[in-house]
Amino acid sequence: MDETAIKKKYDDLTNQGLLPLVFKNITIEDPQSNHELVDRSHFVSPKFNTRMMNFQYIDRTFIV
Amino acid sequence: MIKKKATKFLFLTTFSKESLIEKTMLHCLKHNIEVVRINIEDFVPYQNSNLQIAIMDQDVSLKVGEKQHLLSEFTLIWKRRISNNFLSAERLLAGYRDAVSPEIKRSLISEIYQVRDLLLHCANNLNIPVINDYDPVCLNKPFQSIKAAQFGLQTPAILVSNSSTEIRSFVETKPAITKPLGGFGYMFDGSAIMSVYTTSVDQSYIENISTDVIFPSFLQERIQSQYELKCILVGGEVYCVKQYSVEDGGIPTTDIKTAIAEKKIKKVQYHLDSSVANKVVSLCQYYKLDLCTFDLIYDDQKGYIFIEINPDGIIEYYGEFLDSPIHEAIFRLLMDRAGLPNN
Repeated sequence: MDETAIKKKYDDLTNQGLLPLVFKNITIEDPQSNHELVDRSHFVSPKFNTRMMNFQYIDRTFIV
Repeated sequence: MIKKKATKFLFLTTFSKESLIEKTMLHCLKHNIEVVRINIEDFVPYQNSNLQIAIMDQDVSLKVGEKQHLLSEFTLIWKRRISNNFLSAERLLAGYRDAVSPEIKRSLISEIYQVRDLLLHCANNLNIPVINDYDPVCLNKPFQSIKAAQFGLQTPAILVSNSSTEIRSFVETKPAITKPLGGFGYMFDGSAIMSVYTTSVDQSYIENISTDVIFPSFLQERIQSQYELKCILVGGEVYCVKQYSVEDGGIPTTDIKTAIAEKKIKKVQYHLDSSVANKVVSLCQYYKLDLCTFDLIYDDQKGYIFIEINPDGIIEYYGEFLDSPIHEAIFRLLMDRAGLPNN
């Protein structure tokens, strides 16, 4: 299903009163550019590692 | 002679890329404090999982790599962003993708939350302080607004309703936004990953609603402003960043993510009026929040207006715009709660 079709689906469901109003404006996330959705294999070890400090800080997604 | 317990902190986190935890760990190590970090994703088997947990009657054993720790050895626990989003993300149970139904997967996630909570209950039982062991009531956004007003803060008008008539009359009288009552995190529809954010609601937004009774929705009055204040609470201290538009038109209250991506938003450190800061600190204390972010908007006529608290907000992001490193403030908070000198 393409992005437009997904948005239409949730728009229609909201118009039918089945979903909260906020669902009329869903965002389709890009897993490749959203660090929270990147597969875990792309992360370094969860153990403390000073190499982590070399990561350049990138703009975070607004999830909360 | 009673042997004095060595200072040892446990950081209970998720597999987030946020380096706030690492910076704080480094700072602790600099002050000769041992820190053990565990991520709750490691409770489930995965290729690189190196955590083994055993919760018993009297204590909890945590084997991290080759090293064994007992929960009772820890001076303090800092829990960071273990409440939502991450566990619901598909990647945690990637190995289960085709093995079990989505319903079973949801139940498994719920079971992992029980393990997480059990660990924290045991910590409470052992009288180990837990940083940001907040009351889950604070996750409810409309109630934040109701409670903030009780603490003397100005708040936008709100409406939570399943009545399309009530919603229409709210939108007719004032500009409005809608957002989740709590938060949905990421949602999956086939291969698509979706999320929902605060969005503007006008008459055209709701004109096609076809039923009198709809799914309960949260509306909030939309406050127009030249700038928004993104604040970080660390213990009783408030650090504040003013976020404003480099263009003339005031701060966008709904599509801020896009505006930031297009570099239309600037941020600078801001000194928040202490009378307002004190009220928000009292509100956060009511919720037992030690570390969170909260949003205010400044209106020329009304002054500061409370918008919301994010109990697991993006502290490091806003901390980047402050004069002093935010992880050092967090370190002071940890030391204070551990009953240790912080300099």
